[in-house]
Amino acid sequence: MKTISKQKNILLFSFLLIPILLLLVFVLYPLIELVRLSFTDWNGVEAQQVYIGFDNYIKMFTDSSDVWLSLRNNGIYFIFHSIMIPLELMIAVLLDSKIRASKFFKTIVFMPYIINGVAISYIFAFFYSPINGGLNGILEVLGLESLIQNWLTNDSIVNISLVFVSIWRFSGFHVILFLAGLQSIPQDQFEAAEIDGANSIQNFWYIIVPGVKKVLEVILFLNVVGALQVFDIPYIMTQGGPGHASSTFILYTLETAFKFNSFGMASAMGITMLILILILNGVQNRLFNLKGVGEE
Amino acid sequence: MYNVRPRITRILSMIMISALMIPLVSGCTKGEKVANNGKSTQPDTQQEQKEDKKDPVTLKFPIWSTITEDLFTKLDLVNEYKKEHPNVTIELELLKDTEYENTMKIRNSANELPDILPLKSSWLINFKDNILPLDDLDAAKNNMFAADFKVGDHIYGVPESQFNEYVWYRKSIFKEYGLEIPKTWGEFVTAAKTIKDGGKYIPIAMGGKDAWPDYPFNEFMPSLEAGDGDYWSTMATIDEPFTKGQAFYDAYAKIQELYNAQVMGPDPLGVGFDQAKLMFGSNQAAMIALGQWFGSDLKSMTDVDINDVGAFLLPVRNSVDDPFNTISMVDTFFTIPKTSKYPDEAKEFINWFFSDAWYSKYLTEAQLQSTVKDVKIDLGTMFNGAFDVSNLNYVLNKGGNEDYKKIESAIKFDVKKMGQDMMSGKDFNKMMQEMNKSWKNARSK
Repeated sequence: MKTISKQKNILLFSFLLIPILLLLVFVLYPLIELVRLSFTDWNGVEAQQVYIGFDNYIKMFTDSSDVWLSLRNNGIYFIFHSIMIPLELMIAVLLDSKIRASKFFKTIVFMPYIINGVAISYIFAFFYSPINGGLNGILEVLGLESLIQNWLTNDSIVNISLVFVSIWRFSGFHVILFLAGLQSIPQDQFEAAEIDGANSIQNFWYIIVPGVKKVLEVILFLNVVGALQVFDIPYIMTQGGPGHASSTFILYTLETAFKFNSFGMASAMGITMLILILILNGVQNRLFNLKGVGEE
Repeated sequence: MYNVRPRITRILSMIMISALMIPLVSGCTKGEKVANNGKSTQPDTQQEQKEDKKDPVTLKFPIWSTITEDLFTKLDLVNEYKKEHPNVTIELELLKDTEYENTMKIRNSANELPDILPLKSSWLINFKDNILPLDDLDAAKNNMFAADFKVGDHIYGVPESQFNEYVWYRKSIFKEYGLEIPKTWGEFVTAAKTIKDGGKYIPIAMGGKDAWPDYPFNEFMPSLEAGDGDYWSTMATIDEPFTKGQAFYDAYAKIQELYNAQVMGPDPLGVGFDQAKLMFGSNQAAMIALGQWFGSDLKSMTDVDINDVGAFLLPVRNSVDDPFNTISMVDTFFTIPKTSKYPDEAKEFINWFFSDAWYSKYLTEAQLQSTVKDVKIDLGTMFNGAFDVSNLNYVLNKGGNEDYKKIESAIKFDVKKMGQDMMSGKDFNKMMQEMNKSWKNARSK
């Protein structure tokens, strides 16, 4: 008996050793190093690293208005994607019902997500281009010349233009996640509801919404992470410009580290982002009382 | 059934062993390849055979420009060097220009810098603790500019080339509108406005979307206005350089005047450099302000009538009686990292690179000016007349000292982004006031 338990332990230990080692080396150690660097003034090149306490954290929010501007831009992504979530759920419900060619529509909806992000950014950069750009061309053909804009260079609309690309790219993925959630709801609940005389709105509210709570939790988490870490779309399409008008927190962090040689400050920004994600996710979960069906 | 398990185990073991053997075998094949390569280039003469007995050395040499890569391939740098140093293999690595500095910083933190590290002048300060002083190197002694870019008391890099900044223009368009080559800032703006009023062409192609193409204006004009190539260092001694009467403000007021004239097309910020380049190449735009390096780009563009393209120096002066300040750039500083395993071989390579046999041939092909004493390069007809201006004064552009770098880093001072803001119509005076405030604040710390 002892031998079996010993063997079991050896097996467990040997199976877990490599993943734990990898986790320690590639996740935990860099994280600890990041925290350490955030308290230094390291410029990324010199060997010298002077500890300056919380200076980086204080400076980040007091000395630069561009940090707030970047965070505001992240907020725009967050808000618009949040607004899209109910719509995505509705599309999923629609696709889950027995509509004609639903498989075709599912593929179409999911397609943007599997296209490379860089390619999407380039496609939309050309689409919004002021010279032979697709969008302005369409508006011209429709006789809506008055709506023609400098989509990526006008301070007041550049972020909306970028958010649209982000929604175009990620909404399909959310729809597919919702679809998976919907398919996990037992059919007998709908049958019971039908016997009880529930209408479709009641079905949606009392069966579908609680049924996809777990998926909703995942999507809300992805939304927070995605909105705060949005990078490739603004980086490729506008490089955060004009000026810093469409810069995001990650773009600003990258600029701080590599353009202005403030690796200490950039590390502090990285840690701040981590904390922000944790806080926002916690708040969201509390707000929507999300515990998942199985955990209640 | 009973016999199946050992068989499966055997098969699995075989697969695992084969998988493990693949890298080993491929490693051997690679080794053989190298050895074969060595054989094929093995020289015949006795002296060279002697050289061949030296341990084989591979010098890693990164570059950031496809133009440079094409030239090195065309002139066969690797084999040319091998002819004289058979044991040395130059391993070229092309990196994206925008990512080059970041890549080197990352490699530096991993102690993996290459053996020869080309740097821009402004990066020398950042890397000074990681590169070797080259004061005693012949190539450094013969270089006209290496000593101008000392960091502290030492020469750390040997600059490869020197070039000027130009406004490239279409001769036919200038002729169509009866325009002369402008000699003052006022004449330059007027010429652009005349072309704009004609309504046929975009006067100046600007890839404002990429930020960096505004550098001939936003980066260099303060130095030109001040007649001081080290203006960034001078600026670091001033509390409020964004005030009227200061070179920075005056230069930026001129730039704002140009941007406000809307002579860069309907949306200069919506156009990237590639598009701007094509606009000039396809005769849609009359001018484009870029460095001498653009000559190679033009030549590589098919359908561009090179005879229709001319170049003039950007006039920044107010009147023809003032000195005509023009930026002179010194670029691509060859440095040797302290972590290089072969510093002597790297030094030998740099000396060879700047030797007459290779250097003249290379620079003539690259259409760049020499940094080496007594080496003159023929730049060709495109630059005819470009230097025929009164009171010409070369301003040697420098990257700024450590005081400047500290302020730059503290307030994230980015002139190219400022250029974008100016093009987008931000309130100029407000921007200058805010810059004064943050500059003064950073200086006081």
